[in-house]
Amino acid sequence: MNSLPAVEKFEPVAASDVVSANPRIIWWLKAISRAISVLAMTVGALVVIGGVLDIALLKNLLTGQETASPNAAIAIGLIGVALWQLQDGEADNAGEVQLKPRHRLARLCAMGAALIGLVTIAEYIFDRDLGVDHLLFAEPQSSVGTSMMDRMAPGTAVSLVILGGALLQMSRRMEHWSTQVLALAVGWIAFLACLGHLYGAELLYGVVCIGGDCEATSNLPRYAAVALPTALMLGLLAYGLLASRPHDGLMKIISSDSTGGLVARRILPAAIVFPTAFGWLNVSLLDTDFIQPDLGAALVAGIDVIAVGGVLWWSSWSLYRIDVQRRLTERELAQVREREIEIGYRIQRTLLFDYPPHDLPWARFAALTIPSDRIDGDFFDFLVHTDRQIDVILGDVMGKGVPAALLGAATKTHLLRAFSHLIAIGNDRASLPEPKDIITLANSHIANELIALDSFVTVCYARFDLDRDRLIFVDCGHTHTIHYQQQTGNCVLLAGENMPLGLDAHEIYTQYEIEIMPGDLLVFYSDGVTEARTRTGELFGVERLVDLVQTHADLDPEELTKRLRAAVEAFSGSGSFADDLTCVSVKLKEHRLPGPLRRAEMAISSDLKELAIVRDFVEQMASKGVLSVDKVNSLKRAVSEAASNIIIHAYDRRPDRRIELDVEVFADRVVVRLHHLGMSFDPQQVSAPKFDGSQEGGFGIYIIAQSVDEVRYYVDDRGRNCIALVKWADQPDERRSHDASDI
Amino acid sequence: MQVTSELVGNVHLVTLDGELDASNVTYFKEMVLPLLASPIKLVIDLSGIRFIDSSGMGAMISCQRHAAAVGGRLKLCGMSPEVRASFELLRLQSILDISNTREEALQSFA
Repeated sequence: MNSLPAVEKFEPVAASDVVSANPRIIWWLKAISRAISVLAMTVGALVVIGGVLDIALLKNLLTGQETASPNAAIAIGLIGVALWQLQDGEADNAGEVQLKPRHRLARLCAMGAALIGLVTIAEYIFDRDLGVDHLLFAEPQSSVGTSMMDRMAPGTAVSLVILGGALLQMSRRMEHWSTQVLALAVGWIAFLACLGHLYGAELLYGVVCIGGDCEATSNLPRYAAVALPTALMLGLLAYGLLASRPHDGLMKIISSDSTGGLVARRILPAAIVFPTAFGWLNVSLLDTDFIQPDLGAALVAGIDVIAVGGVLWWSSWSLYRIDVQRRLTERELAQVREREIEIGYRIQRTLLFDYPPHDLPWARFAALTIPSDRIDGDFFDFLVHTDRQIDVILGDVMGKGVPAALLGAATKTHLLRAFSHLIAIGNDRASLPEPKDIITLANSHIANELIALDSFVTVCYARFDLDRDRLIFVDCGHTHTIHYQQQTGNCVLLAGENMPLGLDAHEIYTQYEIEIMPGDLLVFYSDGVTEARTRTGELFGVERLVDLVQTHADLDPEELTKRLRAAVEAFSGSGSFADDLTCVSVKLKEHRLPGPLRRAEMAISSDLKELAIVRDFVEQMASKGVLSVDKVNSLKRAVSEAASNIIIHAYDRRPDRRIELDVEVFADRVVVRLHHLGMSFDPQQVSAPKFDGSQEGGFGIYIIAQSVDEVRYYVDDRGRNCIALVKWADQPDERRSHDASDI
Repeated sequence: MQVTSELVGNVHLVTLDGELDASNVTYFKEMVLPLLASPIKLVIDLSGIRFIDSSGMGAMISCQRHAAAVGGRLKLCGMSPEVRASFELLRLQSILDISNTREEALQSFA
């Protein structure tokens, strides 16, 4: 058997596996970043050209003043070059960039820009003219020599240093968050400067008069302003820097296709635009005489609430729709899964379950299984070899749910396969293969697969050998079967020493033999019974189970199983359990009782015309001495109704089906069994007939129940639906001494 | 099963012979129910019936309801102990008019 590789464990899922960047947004961001870098380069170049050719319009492009230093423009141009060179930076795994020529260029430019900024700052701090302000255009524009006004503003210088630093950092480590924080800082400085221009708040864009009144003390140091075009350019560069890395850091959310990205893209622009706009409105209203200032502020605040509220509502509405969609999808997935489980449950109940034999004279069987979540990982099987040799197999697959159920079915299949294989190769085809050999062979087939699946199966394989009054069992790590011995009135636990199936393919299994007697009771169960828990965690345990078996050992197995279920449910305070719960009870009866005096079988086609033949057959068999004439007539009546029901209801009046009958005449009773393969019917579902003349049919079940002493509807060990009818020779109250019926 | 029908005075007499069960109950109904379309006096003699099942008894209830619907009358007679036991199982003696013999039934209609 070829072994597949072991089942792979699930890798933990990363956020990047489920949220991806929106390619359209990425494209736009990168395009904008490129455009900004081109713009910066162009501006820088134009100012330089303007300086060289002395074109005032170009020279003063950024400052709008005659007396501007071109340094800021040059630095901005350098940053534009660096940004252009650092587009599409591919980092290797360690996040370190392999140095390429263009990266070197970018570094150089970034360093140049930062240097210009640093020198300017130094000039301010030390109050010395280091000559950088007119490095390019040697001839000073100002007639009074270099003044403070020719220098770039301190805000611009700081921004240039930060931008230069950010680009240097970016050229070293392409995806570091620090570059984005630095860019944000520059953006904020530039934004404040723009606001200052917009609102006329000089302090914000940097005209600072040190020493009080500027007019009065004109020779005191005065700092130049950050001109509006410069501020705009710096802001754009900061934005370009952010946009050049749309996959990383802070931009990851904005470019993502998640709902977070959606909200960020909607609210962030609003968060910038609205306060700006309303602040401006406020300031403008203050300047006019139309409205009182406090009224104006109130009105602006009112409009602000509407605008911000509107954007928030818009975003919330999108979130709401996305959430609804997600929940619908989840519900749908849950329904699909639910349907699969339901189908699995039906397949298991109808095709995979075996029914205990009902018509063995020496024992009564009852089986119960309650899956923890419909699909059952426990299984049982009954192999009726002869009417005196039968195997009972009960297994419990580690785990539960669908995988456990499939493993259970596979284990059953392999046990049967091992069984038939051993029969085929055996010398003596008349004798059955030993349970230990069946288990050993089946285990050798499935152990490696089970090991690869990290699972195992505990099994109890028990063979009832009535010819020798022996129970032969192989216990493969299963719960210990309870053996109630009628002679002593005690319960014994049957324990073996074997491992579960699926731990070692070379395990040789051993079997044990014990003596069994009529009246003994054997209870096979899965650990779902003994490990049922109360809410406080207390286990049901083997002792409680043994006590229960001992107390109710005289009951019919069906009844015992019901009591067991009720006891476990009462104990755990619930009808559903954490683990699959399975129990098979076998009650041995006196099997040396006299057999039937006569036995006969017949088969009829499912034609109503055959009813008369059936009645004749029953009359012939039953009327010779055992039953009185009245009782024979009653039995005949019941059999006729049963056969009629099978033809009309189970076979839906199709005349070409078969009904098989057998009649056994004992010294004290007559048993008639009718077997068919039509639809089974549940007599419990038939409502009680009305005797007021309003009803013309539906009396059949009632007549059957009234005419014989015992009726049993079941599926026999050959899968046929069976109706068994028993008519006793004595009156019911005269046969108390009899054991339960021998159907 | 044989069904024979004759007129005794103003009373219709239907005589059954054999076994009445699900296989021939339709035949029985086809023979008898048309008679009950008019308000007649009908006696069904069951003395030849050896066995009757639930569908046969259902047919008798049907006859009774048809007769009652048009104002006719129905009497059953001549049941063997076995057949009688079947009827009593369904407590039909309380809703069907049952006489012991054919003569008794005819006389009571006369």
